[in-house]
Amino acid sequence: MSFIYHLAIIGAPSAEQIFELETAVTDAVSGFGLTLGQEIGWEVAPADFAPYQRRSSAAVFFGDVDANHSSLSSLLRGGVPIVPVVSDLNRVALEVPEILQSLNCLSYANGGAKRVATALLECAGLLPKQRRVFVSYRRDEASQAALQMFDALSAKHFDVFLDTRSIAPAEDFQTMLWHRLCDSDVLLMLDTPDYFNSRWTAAEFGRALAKGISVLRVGWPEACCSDRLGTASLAELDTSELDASSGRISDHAIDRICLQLEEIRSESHAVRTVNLLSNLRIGIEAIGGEVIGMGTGRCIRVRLPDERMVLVYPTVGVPTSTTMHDASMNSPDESVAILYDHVGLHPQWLSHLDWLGQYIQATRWVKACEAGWQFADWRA
Amino acid sequence: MGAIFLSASIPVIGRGQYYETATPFLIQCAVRELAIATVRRHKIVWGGHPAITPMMWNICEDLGANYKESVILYQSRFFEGRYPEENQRFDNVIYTNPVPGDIKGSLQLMREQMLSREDLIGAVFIGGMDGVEVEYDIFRRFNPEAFVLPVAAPGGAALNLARDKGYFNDRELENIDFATIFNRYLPV
Repeated sequence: MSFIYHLAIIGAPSAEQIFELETAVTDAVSGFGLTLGQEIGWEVAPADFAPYQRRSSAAVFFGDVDANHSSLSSLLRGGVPIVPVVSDLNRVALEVPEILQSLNCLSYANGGAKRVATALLECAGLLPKQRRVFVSYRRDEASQAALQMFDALSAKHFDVFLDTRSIAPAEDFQTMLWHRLCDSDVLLMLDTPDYFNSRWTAAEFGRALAKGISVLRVGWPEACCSDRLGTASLAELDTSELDASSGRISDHAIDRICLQLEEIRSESHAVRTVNLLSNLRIGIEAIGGEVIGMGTGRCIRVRLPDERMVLVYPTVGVPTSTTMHDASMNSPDESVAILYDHVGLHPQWLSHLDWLGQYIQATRWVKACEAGWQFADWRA
Repeated sequence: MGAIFLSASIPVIGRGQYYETATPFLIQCAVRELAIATVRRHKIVWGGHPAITPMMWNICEDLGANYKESVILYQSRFFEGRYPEENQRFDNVIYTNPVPGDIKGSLQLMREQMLSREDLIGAVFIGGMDGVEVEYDIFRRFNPEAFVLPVAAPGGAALNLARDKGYFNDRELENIDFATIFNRYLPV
C-alpha cells in the first residue's frame, strides 16, 4: 500500500498514550475522508522511520528517561518535522535526547492527546486551513462542475478557493486571484475546450509554475491538452463521466479526482517544504551555522555561527502580516525569522512585504535564496 | 560566466517508455530549483520547451536576471514557421541551418553546434526522451572533462541515464531535494 501521508509515534510512548493519540488522529482525519493505516501511513514505535520523501510526513517523539530513536538524525536532516512530547516542561533535559532539546516541546499534561494530534497534523500540513486548493474554470463552460468540486472538496475539509464564491464584488479581482493562487498547494484546472482563450496568458501561467504550484488538469472529453500544460498532472474525464445536458460530473469521477488531488497535494507540500528547508540549510551552512531541524508548529531551529539561536518559520505560499503576528505570538521571547520563497510572488506583494518589514523589527522576513547573507548580519 | 547546458523536456505518450517513469510536477520543481541555483551565476543553454519557458522568464525576472542574456535558446531552421511564439519576444535564439528534408540531420547539426560551445562547463538532464542519450554522447565528445548531472527522481530518460551510467545509487535516484543536489554537484 502506498500511503498519501505518513505519520509515526516514536520514542517511549505508553500504551495509553498510543491509544489516545491514535483515537484523536483518527477522529481528526476522518473529516478529510482519510483513514489511518490506509491513505495515512501510521507507524507505532517502528525500529526505523524512513518516510517516502515524496509524501508529507511527521513524527511525534514521546520522551522518557533515556528515550531515543535511531532515525532522529536522518529525519531532522531530511526535513521531517518532529514534535517532542514530555511529561512536564521542566523535564525536557531528562526525557528528550540532546538532538531534540532545542525544538519546542509539548507537555502531555497540558492538553493531552488532542493537542499533540493537532501539532502532529499541522506538521504534516493536515490542518484544514493548510489544505488549500484553487479551482480555475470558465464560467460559461464549467460552472456546474466547479460548484460540484467546491462542495466535494469542502466536504473533505479542503480550504477551497473558487473565484466566483470567494471574492467580494468590490475587491481587486486580479490581485486577489494571484494572491490566493500562490497560496495554494494545487491548482485544480477544469480544462474545457475554450479554457485558455480567456483564462491565462502564458506569462501568468508561468508565474504560477515559478511559484512551484502543482497543477491538476481535469480534461473535458473534447478539450485538447495545451502545450503549456506539460508539467500538469492529468485527470481526464471520459464521455460517460460527464452529463452533457446538465454539465455535471459523475460522483465516481468526483471521488477519483478528489483522491488524485489529495496525492498531488501531499507530494507538492513535501517537495516544496524539503527544497525550502534545503535552501535555508545551504545558506546557513555557507556562513558556518547549523540548521537543527523542524519541530512543533513547523518551526525550524537554527544555530548561527556565534551560537545565537533563531527560530525560523517557513512559509511555503504567501507570507502575510498574520504570519508575522502568529510567529511573534508563538515565540515572544525568541529571535524570530519568517522564511519565504519570493520567486513567483507578485511584485506588488513583495513591495508590501518590504514596507511591512521596515516598520516591524520583532520578526524579520528572510528570502530563501538570500538566507546566507541575511543571517550573516542578523540583528533581531 | 560559464554556461550550463540544460536538457529538459516532458515525456509524452507514444515515444518510448519514458512517460511511464516521468512525474511532470517533479520536472517542473527540478527545473525551477536549477534556475534559482544557477541563473545569476551561469548562462543556461537549451532548446526551450513550451511548458517550461514561461516559468524561466518569471524566475529570471524575480531574481533580477536578464532573461535574454541569461538563457540562450537553440532552434533549427528546419522548423521555420513553427517556432514558439516566445522566440519573437526575446532576442536570445540562435538559429542553426537545416539539412533539407532531413529532420534527424537538422537536429544533429543543431545539437553539434549547441554542445560544442566553448563556454559550456557542464550539462544537466531532467526528464526527457530519446534525444537525451544522443545529447549526452555529443556533449561528452565535445566536453570530456565537464560535469554531467542527470537528475533522476523526475524520471524519463534522465533517470535511465543516471541508472545506466552509474551516476547515483538506489536511494539517491529517488532524491527530490533538488536544491541540495544542485548545491552539491554544480560548480560555484
